[in-house]
Amino acid sequence: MTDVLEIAGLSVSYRVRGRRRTALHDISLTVAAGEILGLVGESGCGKSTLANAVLRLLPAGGEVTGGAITVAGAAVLSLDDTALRGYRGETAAMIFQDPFISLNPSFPIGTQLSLVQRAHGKRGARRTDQLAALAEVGLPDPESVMRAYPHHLSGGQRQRVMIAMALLLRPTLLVADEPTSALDVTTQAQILELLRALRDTHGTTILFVSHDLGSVAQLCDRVAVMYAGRIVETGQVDALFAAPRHPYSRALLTAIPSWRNTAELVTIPGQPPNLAEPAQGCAFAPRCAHSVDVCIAAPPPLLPLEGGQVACVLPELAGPVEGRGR
Amino acid sequence: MSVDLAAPPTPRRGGPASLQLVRRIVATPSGAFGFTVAVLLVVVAVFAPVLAPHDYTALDIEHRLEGPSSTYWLGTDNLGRDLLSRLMMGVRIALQIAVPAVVLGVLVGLLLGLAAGYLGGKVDTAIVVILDAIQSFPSVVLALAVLALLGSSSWAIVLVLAVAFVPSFGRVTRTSVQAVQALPYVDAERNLGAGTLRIIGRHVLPNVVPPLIVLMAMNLPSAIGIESGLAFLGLGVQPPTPDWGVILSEGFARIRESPWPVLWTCGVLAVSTLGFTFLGERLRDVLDVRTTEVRS
Amino acid sequence: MLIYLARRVGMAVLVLLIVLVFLASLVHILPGDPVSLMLGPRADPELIALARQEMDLDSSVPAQVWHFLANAVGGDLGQDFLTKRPVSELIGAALPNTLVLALTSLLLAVVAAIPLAVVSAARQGSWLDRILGTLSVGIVSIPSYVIGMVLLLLATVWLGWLPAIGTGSFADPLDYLAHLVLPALSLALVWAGYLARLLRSALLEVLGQDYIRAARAYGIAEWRIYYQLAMRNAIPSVVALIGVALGDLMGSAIFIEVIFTRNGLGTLLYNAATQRDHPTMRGGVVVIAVLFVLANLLADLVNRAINPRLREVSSR
Repeated sequence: MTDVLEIAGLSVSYRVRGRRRTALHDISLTVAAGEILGLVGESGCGKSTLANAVLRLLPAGGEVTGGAITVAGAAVLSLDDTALRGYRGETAAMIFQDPFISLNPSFPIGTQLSLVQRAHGKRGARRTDQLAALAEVGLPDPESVMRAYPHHLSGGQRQRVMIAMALLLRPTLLVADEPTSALDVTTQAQILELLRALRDTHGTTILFVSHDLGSVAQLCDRVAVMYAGRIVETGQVDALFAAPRHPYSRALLTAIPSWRNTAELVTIPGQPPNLAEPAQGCAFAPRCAHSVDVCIAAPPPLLPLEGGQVACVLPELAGPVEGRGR
Repeated sequence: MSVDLAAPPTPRRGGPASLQLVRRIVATPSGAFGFTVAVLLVVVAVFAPVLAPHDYTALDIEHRLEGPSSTYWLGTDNLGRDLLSRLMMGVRIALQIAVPAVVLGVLVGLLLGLAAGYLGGKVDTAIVVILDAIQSFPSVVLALAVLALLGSSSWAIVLVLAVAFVPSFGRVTRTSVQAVQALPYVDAERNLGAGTLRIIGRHVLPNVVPPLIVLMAMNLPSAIGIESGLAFLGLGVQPPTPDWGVILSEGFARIRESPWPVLWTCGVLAVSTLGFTFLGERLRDVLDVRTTEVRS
Repeated sequence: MLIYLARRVGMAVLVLLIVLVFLASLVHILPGDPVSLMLGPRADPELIALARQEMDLDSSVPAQVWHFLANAVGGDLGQDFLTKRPVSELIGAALPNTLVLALTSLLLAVVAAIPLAVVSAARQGSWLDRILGTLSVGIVSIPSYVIGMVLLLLATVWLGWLPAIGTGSFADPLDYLAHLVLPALSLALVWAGYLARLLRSALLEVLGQDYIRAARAYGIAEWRIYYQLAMRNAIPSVVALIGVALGDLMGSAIFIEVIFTRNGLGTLLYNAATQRDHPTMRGGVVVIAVLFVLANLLADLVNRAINPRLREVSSR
């Protein structure tokens, strides 16, 4: 099985008003064909930056300072403008968080879909493909959706439209940046089902970015946990959720409120790190209950351990923890 | 339009503060240009008869419609009069009409704005409707109509121009008054017994003065432009007074014989209007005012 | 929708009434008698009285306004005092030329403003952007007749390319166009800069939106993003200004028509003003007022039409 997405040593930083903030440190990650990888972490950990980097959609001031990204064999970071435009949408496609502001308010859906197809040189049978895509994402009346403007549709419908747009060109990789965060719970579940169905039917590889552990548990095969611009742990979803090894992953999972556990709400002590002044050692050390001297000296490397990876010098301390399971 | 009312108004001092203001104005190229033009125009307006190389009424038929020469630096008009001297006198005439027009506009606008803001209700609505009506109408057309009815005396021109500017000043004042009235500390003062005049003096005026100053600088080019335009059409200042519009119209009649009168007059008109506009823009930045764009 | 329309029309009528009342009252309130101005200081008093009666200057202000309106509805705008021809006829001959001039100038301005705005927005902060910005502000403040005069000098006196005088007739379209170029250009130049600046601001705001990012994410070409996807969302903010632009153009058109000796509403008004021909002036001013109000109304309606969200919000 070849890897559809290969990220090697990626570093990204932002220059804001003269100051440089490192958003991603030396990220290495792979996603196999047909796999759904979840990317989790709290706000500001860099998961959106990573998602944007895969499509080279970093906002102004952001730049890649090292590393490589390979998608379906293409060296993404060295694509020229024309190749980049071909790549975006056809090889890798993105689904955005808020479908209302991600759809152009002044054009009907059909026109917006056509524009995507036209940008990739698709000539005949455009309408057929559009209708097919809209039907595939579960929209009951594709014809009227085509004529509608974004503000005519509900949140769930808009998100389906976005997914349809992403599917139009049959991309190999789908990058979903918090696609369900702006939706209600019922719709969330439907969209997750839809994404899984797409993978099952077309073999689409999906990078699913989310801060919602529940969704990740429901949908993903593997998961990668991020903290302060680094990956701290990866593993199969079942295994990781059952027995997280990195202190941060453990803390994260323990902090999820549950109807089972009626004791006091658990929080992670301390503050998220200041990206402008990266720590010398492990970024989580100040908040970690188990940190020792060596933790502050240098950032721990991401090393394989029991079917996944952990970036911590004290994995033995993890042990069997009452995790979440499915 | 919003004025920063969160900070209490700074007390005004003469001397160093004004110098600081000037320094900030001339810090940018456009600001420097505008300031220089404004100063130059004022100086010429005041000292024109002294500075002018020739008597602006002196005829020299032999040398009429000539281009620049050592005697007549900018050339001569259709009666042989020195263009430079006439244009310099023209500065005085332009400012003599434009400045009072703008000042009158400010005063009336201020009063109306205060009335609308304070009295509210029907008075406010009535004033707003009238101001809207005046502002929306092309001022030149209005001026034409009025001057045709009243004849072209200087004060009629000043009056007509002032009317055209009243709406913009009135609105700015009204907005300021409304904003100030909404402030909690002003409310407190009122509850303590402060009279309306005192509130106006201490709170409204200091906040409304900067945008009004900016607006004055921006409306001055309009005033000059319309005034000269009316003179050009024969409805404003009449010949032989060397109003720029008059020089322009005389030059236009003989444009094929000599382009110089038209050329130089267009030049001074362009420089003056540009100068004051840039000055106004720079003032707006320096005084940190956020008025909406105004065109009258 | 209907209520909105009714309200706008109501405001328009109000503006017209104010203009009429204003004109009529001026004569009564302020010194200066229009008739003696027109006929000269040594005119026969009987003639003056006759003229006053003819022009309805002896009735009270409300009566004057009422008489005028009553006649106007029937198409009678009075009689030109000096030539005795119906004012409506004079205006009818002159109006089309002015309308063509105003609309052409506006069109030129918009057509020029769009690429200027795109270039400025795409290169925000560059020296080009700043120079264009300064130029737009500058040109807007220069009186339009100055620009017209300079263009006249350049193109006709020195280079001899285009005709300087006259309007040409509709019968010969090319000739008409040749006569239209310079006047339209003079008027358009001023507004092109101003509109470009406004459009640039609107564009910059639109370009920061997520849907533009999404368009890039799907590989849509930059030029299409600017000229179609972003522009479509930025234009409404400029349309609102079209009404104001038309009003300003009417005023400036007077000068331009006089400079280029075009037969239009501007020259009609100008001649009437210099000859103190009250009926023609009043008719002309009123027609301009009506046009102006209509233009604003139209701009408003167009604005609501092209902004699909606005359309639906207020119809509820």
